[in-house]
Amino acid sequence: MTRREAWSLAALAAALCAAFVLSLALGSSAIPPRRVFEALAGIGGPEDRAIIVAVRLPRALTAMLAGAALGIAGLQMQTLFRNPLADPFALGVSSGASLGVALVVLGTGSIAGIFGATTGLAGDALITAAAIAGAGSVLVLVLAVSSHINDATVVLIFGLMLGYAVSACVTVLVGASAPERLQQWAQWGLGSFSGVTWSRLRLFGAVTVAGLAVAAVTPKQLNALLLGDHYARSMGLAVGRVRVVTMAGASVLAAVVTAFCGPISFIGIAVPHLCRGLIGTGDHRVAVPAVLLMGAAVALLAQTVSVLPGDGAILPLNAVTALVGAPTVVVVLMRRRQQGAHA
Amino acid sequence: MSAAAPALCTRDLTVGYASSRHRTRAILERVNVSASHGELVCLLGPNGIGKSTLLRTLAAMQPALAGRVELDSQDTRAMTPDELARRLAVVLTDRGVVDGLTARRVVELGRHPHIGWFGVLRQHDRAAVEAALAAVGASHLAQRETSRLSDGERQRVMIARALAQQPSVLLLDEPTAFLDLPSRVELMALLRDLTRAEDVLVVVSTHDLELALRVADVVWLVMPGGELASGAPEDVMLSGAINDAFEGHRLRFHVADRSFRLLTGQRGNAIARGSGVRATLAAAVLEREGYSVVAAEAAPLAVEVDDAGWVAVAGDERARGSDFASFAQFLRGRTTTS
Repeated sequence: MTRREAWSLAALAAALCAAFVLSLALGSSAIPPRRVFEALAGIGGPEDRAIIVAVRLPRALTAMLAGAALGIAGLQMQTLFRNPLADPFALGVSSGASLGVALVVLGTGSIAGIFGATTGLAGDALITAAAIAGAGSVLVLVLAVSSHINDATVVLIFGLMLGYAVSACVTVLVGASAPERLQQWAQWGLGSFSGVTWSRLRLFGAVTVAGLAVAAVTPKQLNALLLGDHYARSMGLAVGRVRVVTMAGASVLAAVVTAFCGPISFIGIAVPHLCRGLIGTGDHRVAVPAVLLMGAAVALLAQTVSVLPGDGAILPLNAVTALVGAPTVVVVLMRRRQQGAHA
Repeated sequence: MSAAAPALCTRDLTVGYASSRHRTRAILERVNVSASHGELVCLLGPNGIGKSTLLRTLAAMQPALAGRVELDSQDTRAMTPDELARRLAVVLTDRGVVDGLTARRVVELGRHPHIGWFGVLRQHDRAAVEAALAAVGASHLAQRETSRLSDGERQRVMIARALAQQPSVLLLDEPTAFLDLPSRVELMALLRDLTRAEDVLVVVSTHDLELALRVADVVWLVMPGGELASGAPEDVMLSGAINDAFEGHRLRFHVADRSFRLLTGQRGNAIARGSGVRATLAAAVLEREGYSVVAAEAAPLAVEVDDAGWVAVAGDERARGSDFASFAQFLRGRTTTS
């Protein structure tokens, strides 16, 4: 690990801590950091404790887990497809997860479940499983297309279009069977970290951590894929097995976040690029921890920005992530054009 | 040395593709070749004849249709992927460009079959990486991004990556394809040095036939019928196999100067007289314009070259000039008049 990489990781860890405190301090009412620490330590006033421990802490933990999950899923997909613009949202994987969620919600007739109000552990587990199935199906489909079409841009546009088509199906499905729920569904589509309460966090956390663990233990394998399947195989990598495991991991991460927080855009695509820019390498031994830290920090900041208006008013989460993510994508595209020109 | 097992050998190896479960398309059949450590083998033949397919099969990247490949007398099919990767490394035609990886990181990837699950490099792994970079003369490139290297530099880094696997056999698929002429010569010289310094067997496919014949210890020449002629370059040249392999092309291989010449029109015999390089160059002009240069006493066309220029005699016709441009012009002018 170079000095730059070590410093970058340290800086990311510090930024994450700061973002964590900030997200606890800010909200419908601002609470000074000192009182935040007191509340966490259990010595603050009951009102602070109620707000911070019951509402803001699970929300912050959810944001951290979701951000890390989306960042890692994006990193895995970018390596798997050898496509710098791949991510769960762009390739339609999040939409696939939404379809799974919609089918369960409409099938069981409780759309409120996706906002964490009524369904218990069994409902959550069912929705998660359906989301994983939907996400995995879309990913397999996109991967099949990419194995026939050796053009990163075409595959990406295919994924985008597939995502739009699946989303449209979901909207039509909801509109047709429960028109009074349409607005609620649209709102869910804007993304939110607020729906995960302490009781729901256990399942969400367990599944997310399991998915993250897959990436955490395979940096060497992901590195070998950087030069393409042929080189990877020539270096002794069981390419097929690694692809399946990585795809499964990425699907689970994208799906569980979609199931609990809605389809959140741009974190998956932007965070790996921001990390590469910061640490200066695509080496997964450094990139995986960097993406974990930065994904968590970016999601926390996005969450904090979304509640900045105060007094209970919030900005849609996806609007905030797009404001960070869209410029990042543009920069990546521009840089690739430059490199393509002299390649 | 001769008693040692060959580094690489094939036994009735048939390579090709299985188009369906029962139908196969063989490209090369019953290939039996062997090569030893420390040798440079050049795999030659016209485009699209199966050189890459053979290399991929030797590297066990695609299955053989029949027969087998042995490394140090061991069947490659019996080896685990890691074991194979520790003995055999490849440099492919895929451009080794990865956004955001320095040359050193790319070479470190070559340690894959040697290191543990988490990819931690130990002292001897780092030493192997630095040695590989040094062996290809790329130590000064180690910190550079691969996307910012020239084609020749990148190719050397990819060879260093292969060397970092510490293989006993190194296979390269047309590594000189995208390089300019000086880089091609340099790369082939580098490969030759590697065979001697690292005692590896290097098998390289290339289109640079003339260059290959100068640097190779052994050539494997893929013939149109799908068999493989192998031997020292000089033996293969002497056998006439090169002209057989490139039959149909408008070229003829001349053993004397180890190079191809264009087969142009047949415009009769000519003699080129003069001293040293001037006579050779005059002969080259004659051949380009379609004459056969002979060593006879008399011919329909004779040219004499010296410091002052050239004098051509054809029957009653005489012409002279000061440089080869005017000589070529004279020859071309004869076409239209006669």
